[in-house]
Amino acid sequence: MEFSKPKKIFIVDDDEMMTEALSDFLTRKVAHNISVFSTGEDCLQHISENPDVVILDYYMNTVKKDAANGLEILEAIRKYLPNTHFIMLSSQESYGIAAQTIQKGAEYYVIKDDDAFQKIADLI
Amino acid sequence: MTGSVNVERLLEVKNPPHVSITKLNIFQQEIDYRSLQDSIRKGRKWLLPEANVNLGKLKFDSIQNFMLLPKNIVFPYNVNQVAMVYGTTDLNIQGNVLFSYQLLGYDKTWSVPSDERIANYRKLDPGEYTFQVKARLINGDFGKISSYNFKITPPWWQTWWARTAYGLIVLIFIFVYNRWRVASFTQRQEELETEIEVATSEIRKQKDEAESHRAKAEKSEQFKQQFLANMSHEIRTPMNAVMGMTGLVLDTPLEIKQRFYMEGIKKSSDNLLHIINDILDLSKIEAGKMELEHIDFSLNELLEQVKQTLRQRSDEKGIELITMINSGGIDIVMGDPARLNQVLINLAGNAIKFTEKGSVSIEVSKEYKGIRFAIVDTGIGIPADKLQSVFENFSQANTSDTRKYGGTGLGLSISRQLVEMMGSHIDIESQEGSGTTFSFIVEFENGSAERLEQRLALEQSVDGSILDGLKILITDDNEYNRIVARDTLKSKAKVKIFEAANGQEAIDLVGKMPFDVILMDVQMPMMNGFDATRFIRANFDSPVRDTPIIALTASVLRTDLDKCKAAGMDSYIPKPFNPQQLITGIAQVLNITLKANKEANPNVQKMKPPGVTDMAYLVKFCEGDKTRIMKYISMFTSSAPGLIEIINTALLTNDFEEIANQVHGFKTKWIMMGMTETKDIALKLERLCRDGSEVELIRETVVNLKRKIERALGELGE
Repeated sequence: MEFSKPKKIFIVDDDEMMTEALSDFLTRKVAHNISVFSTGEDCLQHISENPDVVILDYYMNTVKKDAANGLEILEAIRKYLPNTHFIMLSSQESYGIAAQTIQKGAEYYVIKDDDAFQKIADLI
Repeated sequence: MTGSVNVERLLEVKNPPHVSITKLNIFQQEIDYRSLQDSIRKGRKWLLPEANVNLGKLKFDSIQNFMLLPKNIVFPYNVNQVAMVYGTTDLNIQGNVLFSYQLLGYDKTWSVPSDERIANYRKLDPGEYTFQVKARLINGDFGKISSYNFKITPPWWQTWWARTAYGLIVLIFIFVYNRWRVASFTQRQEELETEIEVATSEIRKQKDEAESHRAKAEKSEQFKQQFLANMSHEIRTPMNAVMGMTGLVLDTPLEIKQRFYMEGIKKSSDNLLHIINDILDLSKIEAGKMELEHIDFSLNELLEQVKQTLRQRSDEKGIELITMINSGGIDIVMGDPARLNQVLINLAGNAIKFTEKGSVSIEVSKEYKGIRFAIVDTGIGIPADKLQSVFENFSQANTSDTRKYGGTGLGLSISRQLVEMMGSHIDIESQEGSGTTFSFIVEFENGSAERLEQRLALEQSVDGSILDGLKILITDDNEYNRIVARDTLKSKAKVKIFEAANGQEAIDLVGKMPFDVILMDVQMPMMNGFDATRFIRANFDSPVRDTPIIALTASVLRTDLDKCKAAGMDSYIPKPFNPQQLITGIAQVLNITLKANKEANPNVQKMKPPGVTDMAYLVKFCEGDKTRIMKYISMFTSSAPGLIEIINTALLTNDFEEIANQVHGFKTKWIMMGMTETKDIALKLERLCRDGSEVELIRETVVNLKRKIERALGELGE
């Protein structure tokens, strides 16, 4: 993704530490316009804003048991946002999930690790 | 005329003619039944020559007076051809009469009327028959029916009882056959069962044998492991006392001679420890329990260390020790410096041992595949046929060499296996008399100078005064070890020391007063260190329950260290320990900032010790911005107690899935707070919970995780 100017970025993750830190990190790199959603449903209500990048957490069931996971959200909103770049976040390395994610239309699969923020920033 | 009269008469006769049965012929012969009756009465035979039949066995009731026919005659089955002769008694109308007959039991209908006066029957089946005959005038009605009964008895084999007998025989046969079949089945089955039994018992025997062999082998492997563990413990324990006290004595003012002797003791114990470590290393490698570290180190410094270590030996022999490094600018790499050091010292030390004059050089160069290490000597060389065997355990090229050069012969074997674990192998080039070159190429990952500095800072010599004022409980059954630990600590810091000789004494003391830290030997009589730790963790109230406990263990086997962890100990200090290890170990569990000695690296003071948390990541992340640092810390401190609460609740209902989910969601938080170890524990817990089978382990890990979080909250609170 070759961007240098500020982008509209959606972060969908129920881990507040992650969303806070990630938006913090990304804002400091470039003054991106970042919106944070803790559920896929919230995100879905704002897709008319037409974000440039959507960063999705794969696993979203920590707070709400029946919350849609990243893959389901990706599937649901992909069709409304043909020009948006999707990045999937996951806590664990799993080839299966990575493959599904790419198949469902995300371009990147990033493991939540010490250098995850930098990796995402590099992608954007 | 006559004709007309006849016709008239015929027309006149209105009544139908009367018909009577006159004869009963057998096999087309007329029989004189009176004389037959006579013969029967007298028991004489009455043969019908043509039919070859004896009529002497016929039965009948009586003979009709007028017609001379027998009443109710009964024929045997072989008298089955009879003829009934009949006629009308009205002589005037003969010739104009038509007869119709039927044999009930044989014919289905009346016969076509004709003037025939005989009815022939052949091959009659046994049974009861009634012969009926009636007559009419050509255009008149049939008159009264005359009938005659007779019976043909079946042969004995067709009688009802015979049939019953057949049935019975068949039944009996079926029954017998079945019995036989069942019996033979049973027998076959029994045979099979016996065969199976035999085969099974054979297999069982073999299995038992194999099992017992396996058990024996396992047991012997276990014995070996246990023996090694014990040996390491048994030898290292007194070694701890010897080396520790030697060090203590050497720290006191001594006469020159005394100092010389003590130095001798120190050197010899160092050697002895070295040999023990070699044996342990080899057994660890062979048991697959050797694990290589993956940490940053400097190639230049490593080489310098090797040179320093060997300098004395080469100087003693008057050999030049050369190090050449041409690593193409690569210095900091990732790997196991201690093991690489061990390999280089082994190989170079060996080279020095077998070189009488000339030089030993250690060359480090950058190759296409990685870094090449070569140890080149100008020594006695190795005969071509012994090149490979030098790597075998306890092997030197020549047994007489052992006496001359000493050594356990394990060094090369260990080196070879360590190098293999590093993903390489040792090449040897040698010419007898002109020297040997050992070389290997290791592919290293690039290291980070920053991380290396952090690590070194921790290993730097530290000032014991950081422990000033602490109350420490030393638990060890070996009095000398207690003395070593006590005096070492007292010589370095102003600490209050209490001693316990076993786990029970330790618990008693802990019950009386709080300690800052407990040093706990593992193997003790009465109550061992594991049990004592578990007891303290389970039965005391906070904060006594959470007193940091450090295992003092002579065992360096991973399984034993895992046991320490599982019992709830916070860390371990290997025996024999040096003063620095003791101070650093205590400082680390108490999260006391280490202070370096005056001569130590000045960087050290800036470094924070690894508590549960490490703010380095967060500080860097926030670029030192305090407000933001505080924001993240408070996000953690406000959510972590909730996690503990949820885990506690989930644990009550064994809802492991919930624990896994909750713990999973904390990954970023561990990272942000620099809780690397906690992150690993959390990952392990998540894995265990997803599996859900090892409940005991889950509970242990939960306790472990909770303690980390609680401690983190404490650290972050500051």
